[in-house]
Amino acid sequence: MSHRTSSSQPSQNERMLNAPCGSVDHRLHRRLFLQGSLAGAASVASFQSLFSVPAFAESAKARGKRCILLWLCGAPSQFETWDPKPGRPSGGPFGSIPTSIPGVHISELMPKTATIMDQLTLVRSMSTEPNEHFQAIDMLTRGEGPRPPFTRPLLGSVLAKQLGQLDSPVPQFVLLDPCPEGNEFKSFKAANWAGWLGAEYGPVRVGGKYKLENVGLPEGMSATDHSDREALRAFLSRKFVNDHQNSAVQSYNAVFERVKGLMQSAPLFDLSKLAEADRAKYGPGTFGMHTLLARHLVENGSTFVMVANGMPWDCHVFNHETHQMLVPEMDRIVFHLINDLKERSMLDDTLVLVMGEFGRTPWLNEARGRDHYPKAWSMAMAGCGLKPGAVYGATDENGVDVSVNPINQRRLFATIYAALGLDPHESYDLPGFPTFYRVEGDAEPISELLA
Amino acid sequence: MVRSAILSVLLSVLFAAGNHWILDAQEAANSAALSAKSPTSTDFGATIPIGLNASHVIDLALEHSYRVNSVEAAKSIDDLAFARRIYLDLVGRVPRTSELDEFLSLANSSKRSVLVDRLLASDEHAVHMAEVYDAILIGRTNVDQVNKRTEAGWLAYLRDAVRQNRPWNQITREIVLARPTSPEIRGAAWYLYARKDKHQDIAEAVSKDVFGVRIDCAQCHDHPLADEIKQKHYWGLVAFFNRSKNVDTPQGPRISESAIGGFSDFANLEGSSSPNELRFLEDRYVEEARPGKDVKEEDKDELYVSVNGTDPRVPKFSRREQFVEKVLADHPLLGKAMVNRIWGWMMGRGLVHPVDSLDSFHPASHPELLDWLSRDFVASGYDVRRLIKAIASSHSYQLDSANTKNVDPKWFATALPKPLTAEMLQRSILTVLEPIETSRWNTIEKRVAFANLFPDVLTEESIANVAQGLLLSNSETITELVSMKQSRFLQSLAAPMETATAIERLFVGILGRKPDSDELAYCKQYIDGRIDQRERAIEGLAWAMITSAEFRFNH
Repeated sequence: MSHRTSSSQPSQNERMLNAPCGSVDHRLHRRLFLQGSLAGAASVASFQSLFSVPAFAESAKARGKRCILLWLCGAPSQFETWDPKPGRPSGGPFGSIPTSIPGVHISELMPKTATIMDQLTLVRSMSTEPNEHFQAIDMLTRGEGPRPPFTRPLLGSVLAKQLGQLDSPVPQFVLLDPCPEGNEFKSFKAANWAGWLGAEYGPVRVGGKYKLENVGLPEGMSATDHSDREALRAFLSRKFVNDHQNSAVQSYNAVFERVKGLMQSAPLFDLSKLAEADRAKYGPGTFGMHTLLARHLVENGSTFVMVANGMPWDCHVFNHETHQMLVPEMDRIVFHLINDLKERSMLDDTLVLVMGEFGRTPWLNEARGRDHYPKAWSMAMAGCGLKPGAVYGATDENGVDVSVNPINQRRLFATIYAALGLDPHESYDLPGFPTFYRVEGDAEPISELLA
Repeated sequence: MVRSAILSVLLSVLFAAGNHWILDAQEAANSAALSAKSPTSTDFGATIPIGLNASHVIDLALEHSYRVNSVEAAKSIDDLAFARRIYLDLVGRVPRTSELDEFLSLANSSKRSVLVDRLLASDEHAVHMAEVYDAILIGRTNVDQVNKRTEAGWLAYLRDAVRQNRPWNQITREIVLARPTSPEIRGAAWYLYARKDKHQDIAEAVSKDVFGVRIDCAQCHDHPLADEIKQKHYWGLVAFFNRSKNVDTPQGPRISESAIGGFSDFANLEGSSSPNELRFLEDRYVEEARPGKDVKEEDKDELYVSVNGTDPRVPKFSRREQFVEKVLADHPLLGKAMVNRIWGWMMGRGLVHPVDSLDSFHPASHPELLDWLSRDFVASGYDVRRLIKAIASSHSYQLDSANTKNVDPKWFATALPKPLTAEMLQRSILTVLEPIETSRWNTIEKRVAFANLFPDVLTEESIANVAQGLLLSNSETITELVSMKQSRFLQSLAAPMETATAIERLFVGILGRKPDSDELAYCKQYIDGRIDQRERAIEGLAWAMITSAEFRFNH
């Protein structure tokens, strides 16, 4: 007997996710209710009317928090960055240097960042499961593995929703990435970013030429004509969109709601308008220019900017040479970003995350590359709600295992949310469907890292 | 009548087969739990005889699942809606007003079936499906690569394959063997050639395209979620291709194959290594002697069969040939993957979803139906056109798409809205607007730019991005195209006529339906409020329809 046309998919999906916590504690927590006619079929992952308890959201908004994620896609090596093991078999050719935190050394490839380590917050004990890019990127940007047919929103979408203002003309979630190509990251970019929050919380994607295309009014058309025409489009679409509770239809319709705001905020994306000195400092590479743009966007009202750069960090071949090229650039960019935010008194309200989807092996493969290694890796953060200069966790002498305080993606996300003033244990409540939590499995923030 | 007679025959077969479809929801859940570990379905598929009308089997299976899951099926669509849907699916554009009129005027009770046959036999169908296959098999690309694909004969190969309705097993054999024996199929070599000697890319593509399985993540370890996909299958599939190399011959791109080499070990995460034997899913294994550890193989002429002309020589033991003979030829996933893909194309979602995930982690919504259709497809000689016809003729295909209750799409209780591919959208815009300078709009550059902005073909989910909204709202291309100056259709509305008449013609011409009274009133107000700019108002209305979700989707 094998009949699988059942509405309850057993075990396989569930093994992706521990049973949601049913403790009284959590049931008493504030919940994020899903309302409206869309509630009811989570397979169509577009619940547009999610709202939180106003008072809570307001208090967070009032504090104007925002976040920049420097996404090191492909996954850098912890040995050549934050957790060097000089002289050990796993250590590679580069040495380590002291930092502004007494006793803490990082790779010699990061001399600038070493001088501001006391501003940063370091986790050296990341330990996660997925070993392939797509699954790992998905997990480390959403905080949880997939549980079909539900699609969990990305960190950026959650923050755009919770901290941002939807009616702001400035896009709340921006993805800066120059490469439409890039293997697994490409598949990831084709995925559903905003998940059950609905497409309006998805990112605005810009990259390559650094500016948005088609943001000017069509020739000979006034702004009024443009709005009237859009109103007509919205009217003619209304019935069809209401009749088709389908994520693709809803997402297509939602993009038109954002066109006008983007047209207004288009000048923000024009790098040529930024100070020459800034461009020289961050440039000339795309990664640096995008980081500069990220700074500029959060200065002007964006809530979450994700800076990606294709997948350059996937060093299966010539690990050391590649890191010798990439790490100094990252070092310079992180250094300037943190300094600039501090100089502008923005660091207290801006969380900076510097990470990839996993680490790299303590050993080299035949091509002198390091392969994927989720078991023990590092990531860095700075700013907003975090304890500056704190270093959490450690790996053993060869960096093979986490020796102190292993941290999975749930605890990392709990820490990120807590730092931003958001309750990690909020739940998404949807009649007839499982309860989802902002962070699953009761994961607690790393209290040692919170200011 | 005929249909109900067949249903009752089928039902008796079902009962005889052990009531597999006659389960209540609770039982279904239990049996699902029991069978969760088993990737194969029941023997049920094997008990329904092939040779039955496939459309009826589809309807029976879906109707049963509606009952079991207490969902209500949508009503059937009228001829107008059917025509739009089938034109889009089969020839990749909306029907012209004249075509709609002609279809509606027919009184023949089998006219839908006649239309399906006519479209399937049309040249437009070949062009359209070739574009779809190209996007699936090799993917979106830039202008330069499109030119190369064209020069290499790849696109012509796909078009001919559809035009002649060549069996799918033969097509897959030709593209994977990549050893064209006649000029007519010379383009087949491009499928491998496009991967530029990256053998892992080849293996990942072949697995996805031919077998409907993504093995990418078995590169470093056995698949964590689908137990049957092992790391040895990944490296085994790579090994079938790792003696291959792109070569350029006077006849065009070819793939050579060495008679030696390609032996290596792959290591798992624990560091233990295994030889990369010639293996693939379902225990397909080809034996080949491995040279001893210190033996240096010698590449001798006697290891090759002689070939004519300038084609690359062919080894006597050809791994690619072994692959198509012993792995691909009668592999159960070969037919199943294509059935699931065509089902996904026509129905908006695979029976296994996403369509390229035929593994034990992604159970089919209707496993018995998928099994039966797969057996039927194989028995028909991998006849793709017959499969499309069977789905298009089913009652299930012809349901209304409105889904106000948000029913789980996997039950197919309503038709699912399918986003038009870039090519379909562009062609449909050109079809309704009838631009004066057709060739100016239909350049490779414009097609490629559009394809890269609307890249989705049979993706798991289609998520729009704001760049699409900006292009449709503000780009020079769209603005010029949707203008009195360029569009013959809009020009035809410039003549003096009642506003209501103009509006009605716009609705019929673009959306293929008449406006309701609210729409008519709103649009009338829009146009009459711009009495001194009537032409611009008509352009605005046309733009609003072309950019509406209703136009963007096949529904």
